[in-house]
Amino acid sequence: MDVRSDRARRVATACSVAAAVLLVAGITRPPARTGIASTISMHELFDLLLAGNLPLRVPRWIGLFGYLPALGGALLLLAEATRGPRRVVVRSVGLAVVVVSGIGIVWFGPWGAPGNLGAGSWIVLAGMGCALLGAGVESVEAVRVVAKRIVRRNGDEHVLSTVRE
Amino acid sequence: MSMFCRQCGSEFADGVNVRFCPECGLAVASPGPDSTAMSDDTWPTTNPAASVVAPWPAVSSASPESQAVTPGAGGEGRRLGRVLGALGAVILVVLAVTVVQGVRGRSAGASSPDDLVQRLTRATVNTDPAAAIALLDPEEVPGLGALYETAVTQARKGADIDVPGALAAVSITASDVTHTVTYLDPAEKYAKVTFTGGSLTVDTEPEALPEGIRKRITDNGGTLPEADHQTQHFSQMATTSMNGKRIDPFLVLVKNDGRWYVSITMTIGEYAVEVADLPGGDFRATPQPGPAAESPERAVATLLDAAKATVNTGESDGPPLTGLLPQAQTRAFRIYGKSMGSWLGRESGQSGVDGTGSGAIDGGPGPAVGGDGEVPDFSGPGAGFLGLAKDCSGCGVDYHDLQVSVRQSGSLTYAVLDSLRVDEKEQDCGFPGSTEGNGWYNYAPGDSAVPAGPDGVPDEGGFSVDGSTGAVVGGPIEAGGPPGSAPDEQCGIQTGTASWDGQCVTYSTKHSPAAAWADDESGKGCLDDELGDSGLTLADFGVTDVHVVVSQERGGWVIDPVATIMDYGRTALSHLSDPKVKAALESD
Repeated sequence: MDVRSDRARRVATACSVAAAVLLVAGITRPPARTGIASTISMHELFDLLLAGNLPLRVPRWIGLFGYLPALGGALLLLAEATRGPRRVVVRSVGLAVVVVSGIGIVWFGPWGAPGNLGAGSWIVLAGMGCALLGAGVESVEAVRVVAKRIVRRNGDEHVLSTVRE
Repeated sequence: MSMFCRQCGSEFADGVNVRFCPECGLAVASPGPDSTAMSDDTWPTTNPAASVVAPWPAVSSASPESQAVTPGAGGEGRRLGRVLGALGAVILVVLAVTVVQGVRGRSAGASSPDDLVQRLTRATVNTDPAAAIALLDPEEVPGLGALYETAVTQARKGADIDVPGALAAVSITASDVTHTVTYLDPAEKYAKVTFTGGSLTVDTEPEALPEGIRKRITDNGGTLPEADHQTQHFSQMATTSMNGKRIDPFLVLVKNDGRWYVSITMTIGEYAVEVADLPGGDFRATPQPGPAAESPERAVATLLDAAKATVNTGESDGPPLTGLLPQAQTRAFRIYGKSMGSWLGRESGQSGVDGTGSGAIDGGPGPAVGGDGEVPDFSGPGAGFLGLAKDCSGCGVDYHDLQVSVRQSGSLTYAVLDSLRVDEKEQDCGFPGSTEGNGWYNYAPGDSAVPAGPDGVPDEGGFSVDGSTGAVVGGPIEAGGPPGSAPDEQCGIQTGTASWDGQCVTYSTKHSPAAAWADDESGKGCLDDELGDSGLTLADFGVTDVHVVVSQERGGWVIDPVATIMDYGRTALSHLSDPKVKAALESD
């Protein structure tokens, strides 16, 4: 692995760790700044839904969505322990989960009032930002490596053909 | 000879000149001089940084980057990856456990009574009903959420009021709130939090209401209310017991699975004990519920049997009510059963529990009380409105023609009362001067009386009645007070019957001999009768039958009174926006 790839990988890992920490921490804080759900943590709020004690006419299992940020963070960490295609899959799924939960939180967390985002929502969004940043760094590096590979493959073939000749 | 990627393990075809893994794109480093003969079974270890071991020699075009690999970096990275992966796995496990706890409703509440007070204060100050609901005992409030949601929905639908938005106009401030915590039982599973000082200030600022709500008000010809500022001190919320003892506002908390919750039923029970100066709750009462009913129909019949037995004999010979109720809702009943028994005995002219009653109206021997976890036993001489069968030959209540049908709606199961006839025969006593009822509290204008019970002890309800207005101007009297001028009591027999056909109840009562204090009555009432002169009927509020909500528990069926009340409330609320109801309410 070249130095640049190694550096990119480290940055991506750092982003994943930071994202996971933020995503997990986010669900322990209130999703709204004022009013409903402003003094109760995100996971407590969705636990109420899971237990059927929250005044919303939605299925109880919807409460599982409150755990998506932390699930996404956990998947990002798990991806660090995997290699190859498996890593790509786990990381992609984790990223998708994080993005979906981030959108959901912006939409539902402050009860449809985007200006009412609470600490938990902001922390989760910051975590989503870190996750996206890490994914971006890794993607750019992957593109760079692939491009370089194509260039070098062409170059190597040229050199080998020259040597053989 | 095959080659493999160090990162993803992909196999490269023989003879292919590769510098990057085609699967994962990992850059392929040149093999070291001592790692030239690698095959399937001789995985190289001499150059851990090398990603692919290939038998081809280093080519001159190898970039400097590919050779500037830090030995050992891959190993560190993998170790870090494993650690992070393990951390991720731990988080997943914790999440799974937390979700299970959440499903069981065990992650709300507070860690201690003090923590609960803090959370409750925060929830109040931030007008956060969700946080407040999280502090209620989840076993006690089934359906509360649905009721709240219906109210919110109806407010939006019927009055165009966005409740969460409306909360923006309310600002609550808590100042210097102080409290004390007293454990009610030795095991410290029940705590009483008494608010001893401080205040709550509520500021309402109508201008802060969302535009939609303000427009709605003004469109209807109304004007926005003025801003308001009210401070309520906890000391002002104190009440006084019947014996004049000061009672500061309090809540009773219960501990479930290590978390503390506010118990509404326990708070009500404790308030009743405090206000009426009753013996305290029996916190040793162990939960020994009776058997659940084998069917919803049987649950209703068993409930009637239990009620009949208690009314007739004053004893708990009937099936224990505790078996017919959801276990979570019988806690207060078990703990405060004896206290309530004391109160009922007292109210029916008797003393407290087991003849050891106390208070202003202490009298003769009182009713016995059932054992732990059982229905209180109100037997005993002169047990008043309980123990009717003891009053005369053939006295008592009985029921016939019970028909119950079961209906399912959504997640709820209803036991609908289709028909029932209740017959009653009892001794009825009163005073000639009274105009209706049994005379105990119903004197004609001009009367001045201190009614006395059968044992001659002045009843706590002694009063006088203003001769011109008929208003009660007296009040509870002290024990042993002057006997007053109560006329002689007279007694007769009252018989009555009431029949329910699913929509209407027909009733009649007769007195023998004709009583001077009560008239014979008969009548009929139906669900579609007009409520007063409102033009509305119960059916307009969605009440089209009489039912109870039943649920399955302990291998049988139980009647859920809380869910029943919540369901009726929710149904009524959901009809508030119907045009007919809305028009009638607005005209009022």
